[in-house]
Amino acid sequence: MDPTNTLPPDSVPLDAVPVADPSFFDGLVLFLQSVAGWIATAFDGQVELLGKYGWRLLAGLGTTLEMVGISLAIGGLLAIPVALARLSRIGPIRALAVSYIFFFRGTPLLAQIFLIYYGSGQFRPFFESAGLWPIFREAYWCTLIAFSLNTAAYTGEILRGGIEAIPPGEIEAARALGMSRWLMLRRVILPGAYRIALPAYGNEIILMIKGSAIAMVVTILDLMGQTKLIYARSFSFEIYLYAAAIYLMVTFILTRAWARLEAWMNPQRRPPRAA
Amino acid sequence: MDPVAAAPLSAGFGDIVGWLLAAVIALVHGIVLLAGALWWLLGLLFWPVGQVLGFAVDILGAVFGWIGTVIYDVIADVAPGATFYIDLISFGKGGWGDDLWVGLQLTLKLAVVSLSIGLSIGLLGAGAKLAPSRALNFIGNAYTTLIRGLPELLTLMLIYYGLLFGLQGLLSTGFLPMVCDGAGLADKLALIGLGEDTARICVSTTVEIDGFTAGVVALSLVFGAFSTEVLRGAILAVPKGQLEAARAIGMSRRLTIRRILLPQVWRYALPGLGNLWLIMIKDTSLVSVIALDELMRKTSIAVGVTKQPFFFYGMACLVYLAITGVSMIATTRIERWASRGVRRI
Repeated sequence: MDPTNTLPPDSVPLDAVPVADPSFFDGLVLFLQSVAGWIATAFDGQVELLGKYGWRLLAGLGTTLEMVGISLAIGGLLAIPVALARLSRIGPIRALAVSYIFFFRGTPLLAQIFLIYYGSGQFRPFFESAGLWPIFREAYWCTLIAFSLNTAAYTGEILRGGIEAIPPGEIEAARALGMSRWLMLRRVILPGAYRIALPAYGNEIILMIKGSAIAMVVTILDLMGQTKLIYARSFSFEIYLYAAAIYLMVTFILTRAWARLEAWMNPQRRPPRAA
Repeated sequence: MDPVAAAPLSAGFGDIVGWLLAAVIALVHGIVLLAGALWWLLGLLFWPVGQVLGFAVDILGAVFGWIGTVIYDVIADVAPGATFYIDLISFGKGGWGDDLWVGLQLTLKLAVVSLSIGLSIGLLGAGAKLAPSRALNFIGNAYTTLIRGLPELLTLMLIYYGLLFGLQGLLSTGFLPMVCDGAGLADKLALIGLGEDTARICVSTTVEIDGFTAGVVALSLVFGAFSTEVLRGAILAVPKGQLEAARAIGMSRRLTIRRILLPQVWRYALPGLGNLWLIMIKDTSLVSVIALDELMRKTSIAVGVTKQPFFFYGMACLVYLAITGVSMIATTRIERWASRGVRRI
């Protein structure tokens, strides 16, 4: 049957199923040509976009890394007392640590930032009289405080897990040697706990880098904030893809570096060297 | 002119594309129909439950309402200043309780829908990662690496703007009408009885992606990626000897999966999945950024009107804490139930 024939309106004839003929290849070539042309134009557009806004992305990455770095440092320091308080034998201290951890792990980071940044405005006279208003006025500092407190809670739990995983024999041995509590903490417990907690802490760093993206919501120009700004100016959706690539790269590098660090900190796991 | 009578049936490139598109559209219709039928059936099945629950809620509401007014009066006597804040979260006029409640419902809906879709994706992903096919392994790995490496907020933005402007861009360039014409889509849709779709797909000039859809897609993808890893670990945690034993006594592959593997995978995966659920509850707050009126955004609206940021964001935090707290209790219960036959040391 002639394929250009008309159809009876009520049924689908079997030979309506297409069969390749020469016009198929003409159509394919035309299609591929238009795709190639589109790619060429798009490529020029991308070069222009990155030339114009690339530095903003890099500046944003800098801000992200800076904020994450500072809050990880503060949070890491705070995590030690949090973990110790969580393991304390004194009830009220333990309850305090538990509720701190429960609050910061049980609420969204976004809500914590809002609570600190906007919430502090409600107590402005108090902060002004305490001389703290210049800190709580700035979105940057408020976000940093929220990040630090948040990561301190998570890191505290990780550290607690590490401390609890230390073989009791090591602690007994330290006691038998007559180490003081502080010395034992510094020489035996914390070094062992850090080593055990290392993989989990690597995850926490990655979570923190990813979580830091919501700083954008309070107008901070981190990588995500810059991306949104560029998008608002250029209306180029692709900028989100570039931001995604940068985030992926950062997490990838960090995972690799962390694997190296773990290997370096755990020499006992290395295969024995050939004599 | 009858569009069907004019259908060109030359088997060119355009026609193949056209038939493919028509098939995809028909498939989407099928899925939507099926989902609708399921939803209807569920509604029918649970209608009595809903009635009973509704009745119980009414009674409880009345009782608690009465207790509430008594307590309120006492507080008004003791500390008149405190009633200002209670009024703020009341359900009545001038109170924001009902708004927050609506937001909370949306938050929970978002989380539950994303959980079910995400779990299905996770099962598929774990299957793909453990399949003996290299191509499937690659797809699984690429998916989890990509999604787990991206900030959830960025995933959400990519999905939201990607869907929105991807579709809008297609429409504004006249690309879609061109494709429709070139592929003779109108005729083909008319042939398979979906003629009404032509106007919607080929002629329309605006698209709307609502925040809920984008949120569900993004959260499901995120949950799917992380649960892929959890489920993969759980599948690998089932002792190999058991599977070998099942094979030795002549169980079929399917039976082994159903009787030996899945019941234990479920148990091994529960703690991890519980954690992911908590993370997802918290991630739903990100959807407020794309203007979906869930709990966080309702709270922000309340703050904008009342100028009580600390109070309202604190309330929102308490609500999230309540959800996570209840979820934690529930997951430990479920875990205990799931491992009831396991010897404890």
